[in-house]
Amino acid sequence: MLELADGGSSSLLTWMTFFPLLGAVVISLLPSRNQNLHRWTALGFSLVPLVLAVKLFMVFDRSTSDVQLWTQVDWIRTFHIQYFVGVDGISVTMVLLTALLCAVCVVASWGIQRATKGYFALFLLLETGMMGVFVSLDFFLFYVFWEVMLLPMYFLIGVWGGPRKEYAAIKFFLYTLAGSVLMLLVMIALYFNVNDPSTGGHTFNMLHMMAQANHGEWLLDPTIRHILFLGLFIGFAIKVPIVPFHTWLPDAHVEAPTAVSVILAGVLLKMGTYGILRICYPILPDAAAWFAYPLAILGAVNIIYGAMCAMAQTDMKKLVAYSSVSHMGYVLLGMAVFNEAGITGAVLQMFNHGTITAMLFLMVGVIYDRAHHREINGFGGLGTSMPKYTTVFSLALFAALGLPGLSGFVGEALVFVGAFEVYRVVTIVSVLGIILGAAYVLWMLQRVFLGPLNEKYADTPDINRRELITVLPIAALVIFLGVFPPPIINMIKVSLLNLIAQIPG
Amino acid sequence: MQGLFFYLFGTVAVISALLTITRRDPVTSAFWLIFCFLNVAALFATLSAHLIAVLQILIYAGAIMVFFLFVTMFLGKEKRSAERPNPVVFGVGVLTVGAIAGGLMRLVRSGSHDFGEVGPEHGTIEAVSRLLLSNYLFAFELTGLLLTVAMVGAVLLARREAKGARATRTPAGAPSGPAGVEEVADA
Amino acid sequence: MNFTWSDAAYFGPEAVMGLTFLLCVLGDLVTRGRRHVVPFGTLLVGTAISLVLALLHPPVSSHAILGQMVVVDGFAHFFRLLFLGITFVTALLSWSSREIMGRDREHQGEFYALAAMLCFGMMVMAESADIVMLALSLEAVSITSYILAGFARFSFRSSEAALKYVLWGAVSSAVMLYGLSLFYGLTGATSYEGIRAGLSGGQGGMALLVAILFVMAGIGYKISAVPFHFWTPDVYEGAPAPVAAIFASGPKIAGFALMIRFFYVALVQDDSQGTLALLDDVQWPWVLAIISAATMTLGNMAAIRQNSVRRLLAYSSIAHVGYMLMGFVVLSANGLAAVLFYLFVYAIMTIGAFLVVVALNNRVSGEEIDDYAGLGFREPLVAAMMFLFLISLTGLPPTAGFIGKFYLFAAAGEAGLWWLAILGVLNSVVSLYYYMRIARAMYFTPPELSGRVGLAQAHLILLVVLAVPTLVLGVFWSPLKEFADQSLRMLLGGG
Repeated sequence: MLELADGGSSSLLTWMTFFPLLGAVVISLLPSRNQNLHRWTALGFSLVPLVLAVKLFMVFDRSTSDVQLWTQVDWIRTFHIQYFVGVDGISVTMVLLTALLCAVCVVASWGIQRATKGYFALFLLLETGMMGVFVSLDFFLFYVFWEVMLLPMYFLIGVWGGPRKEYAAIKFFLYTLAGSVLMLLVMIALYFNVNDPSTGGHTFNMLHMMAQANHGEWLLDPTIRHILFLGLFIGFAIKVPIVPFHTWLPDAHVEAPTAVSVILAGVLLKMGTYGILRICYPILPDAAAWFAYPLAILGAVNIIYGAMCAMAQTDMKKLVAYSSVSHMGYVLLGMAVFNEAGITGAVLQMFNHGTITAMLFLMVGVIYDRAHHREINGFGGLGTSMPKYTTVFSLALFAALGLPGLSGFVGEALVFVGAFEVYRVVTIVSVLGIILGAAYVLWMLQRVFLGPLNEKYADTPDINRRELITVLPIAALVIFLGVFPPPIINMIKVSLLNLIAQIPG
Repeated sequence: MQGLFFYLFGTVAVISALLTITRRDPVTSAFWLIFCFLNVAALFATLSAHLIAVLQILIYAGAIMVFFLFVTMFLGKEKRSAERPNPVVFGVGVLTVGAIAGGLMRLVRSGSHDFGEVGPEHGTIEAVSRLLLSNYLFAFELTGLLLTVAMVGAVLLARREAKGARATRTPAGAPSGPAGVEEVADA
Repeated sequence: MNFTWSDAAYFGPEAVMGLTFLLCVLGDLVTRGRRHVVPFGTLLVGTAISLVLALLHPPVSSHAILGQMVVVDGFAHFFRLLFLGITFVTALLSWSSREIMGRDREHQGEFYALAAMLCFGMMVMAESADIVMLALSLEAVSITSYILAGFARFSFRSSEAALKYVLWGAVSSAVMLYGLSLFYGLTGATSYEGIRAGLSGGQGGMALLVAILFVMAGIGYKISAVPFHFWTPDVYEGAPAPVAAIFASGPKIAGFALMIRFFYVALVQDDSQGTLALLDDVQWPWVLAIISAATMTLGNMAAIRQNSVRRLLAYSSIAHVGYMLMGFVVLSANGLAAVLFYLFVYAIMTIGAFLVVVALNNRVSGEEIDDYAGLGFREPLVAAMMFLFLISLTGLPPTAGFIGKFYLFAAAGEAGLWWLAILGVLNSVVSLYYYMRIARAMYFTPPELSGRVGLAQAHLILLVVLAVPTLVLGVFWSPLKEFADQSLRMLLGGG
């Protein structure tokens, strides 16, 4: 059961959440001609949450599973809605990831030329939405942030995206909304059937919802609980995305501008799995146990299906997009086994996939800016003309295929260790995903960077300083966490143990 | 005695109403409708609602039907024949009438509501006027406003007709909607 | 039974609007229709006085006045303020509308007179406590609406719209009157209270069901619920845009007010635990739940296929009626409060969306969705506000529309009507698609022409005035919710 840490009240998270919103307002008031002003303002406003994130990393108490740094204020008293934010071990890594990637992406968006004012304002609004999702502990508040995030994303894809941007944008919007309205109904059902122990009224407070003693009679019926779990799960599964709800993802990732793809893959996908860990599991633990096996199978399907689709791609960005489907499968598989190794691996993989896939998209963006296409077969021998670029991209690709010593390996290994204890067959099938992953990664590496140099790209300038600034911090993190993962594992461990303790065998 | 009159006028009213909707020639229909109205007026009279009976004859059987006949004749003979009713619509109509009739029958049989006898004063012009100017004064006033609006509207639309007729002769006065008229029908 | 001066105190705002109507007509006659400022000013001043009177004298308890024909209570007060607000805004919005002005501004005076009358009629609709008043007030609003629908001179479509409106309206009024006469026959009473007393025996049976259905036909026409909705798109498209803005909000809301009072006073009883129950075993909520489902689904499905912004908004307004009926059928104070909340929010956002149509009328190439291409770059402020109204209509946070829908779904969920709630949220997803078609045109498509469109200053100010509450009520809405709750207390507490 999740509880509030004594004396843990703090406004840190509120600042992290709403500072970007302030930035969005400021940018929309700036004159529209001066593009550099927009860029620097956006950078300033996205660096503040990053600095605060460093502080969060320092002050976070790793010895407790309680909710820390919380703020709890009544918002709409008549309907028991509160402004209630806080972090525990599960959400803190996501908050750090969001702050990091957002700052990086502002730099990565430096090349945007069209309507920079709108772009950066929407981008900062998006950051507020994402932060809000990860820190909310009131279901209503969570839902508001969850939806608010859709609007800027719709525009960022639709206005600044590629050739099929309109289709991709509306598809993304419709899919996600369809999922979230299901969540809305479940939220309403929970509201009317969970009692606030202190007042006796209904509540949106997630901590109260997690305490099984507060559940009303209607909510005790197992069938009802399974239905509610499914409703929530589908809502989150669309976001993850879990096959067969994944078809929006390749379109959205491919059409979105580079920085937005990074955010989509790096942060948005994590919201789905985060939602399952934060809401589905603790509120309906018995239903989670009941659905565990199907979840594991879905995880395996994601791994294999995503990897096979990635192999079939000729577009680099699409390949990376499908590799995300595959990698989120590991997360799902790890979550489906309720033991320490599995679930720790899952959360670790969420963080690591965020950094690795961000690198991949950034690197694809670099070559796209120069060559204006992303066809894997259209390149060749770039290793000789762009040595620095090749080094960094290879690092990202090796991390993606799970090379030991890089961070991707740790999460995947833990997932397999945990899953093998519980679902042997499923795990063995899933391990094939690693082989497939190695196949598509190496194949792409070979076709793009090795072999004879394509003369067309002989004079392509190598990666420049700004691009290096975006990718090097992430690369450092990938290497560091590959060698020494405890900084992250220590943060999440106690909370995850607390979570799995509630799930009935 | 009263019962006899009720059934007599009632039967005739229903039959003439049926004839009204089954005749194909509008003029014949209109005459049957007048006959129906007269019988309904007689029914009102037997219920000692004399004012309503007179109003029924004056306004419906008189003014409105005369106006109706005038328009029908004015439009000319060739436009007069009505089409056969759509069988679906006809079926729904019969069913609805059946349902209402059945419901009313049961209601009358059950005698759930007793309206009681009325005094000799009931339904006279004086009694109705008294009611209109006391209990129903506001409704009466509202009706007055309603008629004013109708008048304003009639003037507005009639003047527009005149303008519109003139405008159609000049190209500049053609219909000025943002798009073609054909789209109106796409609902 | 008799009239007293204290009645006048309760009836002040309505009386002022009735007088405003007459003064507008007179003012137009005296100035021979040349100085439109006179009726315009009369309407604005009259509405303002009425609003002040209403605000100064909010009813603290339920008063049956004018021979028990109308009831002034918190419920009436809520709608009174709403209608006066709508009238005020639409009057302002029509002042610089080219369609109302026409070429020579000849009939503008009559427009203001009719707007005053419409407001008067709507206020009485919300206060009617007797089927005589129900029929009369509905008719007053209908007849005024017919004239307004045919207002655009020289426009064939406006005339056609008006004619369709009249024909549908006449039929449904006749059906409703027959239904009302059945109520009288069943109970021997014309007042809602009397009808309830007469029905408590519970022997209505088939005749009661038919009576309810027939009355529903009349009201359903006014609120444009399926299957009485066919006139809506034609009228919204054919009538001048300011009139369409009024139709989409005013009479529809008045229809809801009338329906709530009639059904919840005459056909529902308050049992001792404070829960509402049906008087009779006639399950009209089921019928209305099916109407609700059909209305939202058909409205949304039809809206997808539209290319004209006005027709799209017309069908979407039909869909919104379906959502609101959801709160009506659950027989709970929460459900009604949700409806009231939604009506208020709906008025703001729908007038806002139509205001954009008015403002752009004749300034962009037409009223197809494609004609709005690139608006986001030519007129960023207008496009941003249109987008705000659109997402509010879709029901996405942080807008008032989301909160409204949330309460409706919550009411349905609380009552266990999950099938209706699921249908409702799925319809919301469908509606996103067609609302975003407008957004897509505005933002994703490059403009054919560059440079600003050039809009009337008054329209811009009004747009901001409507956009602010759409956003603010999405973040902090307690005052409105409490107002809605409070307004219902007298209505349901009295019964």
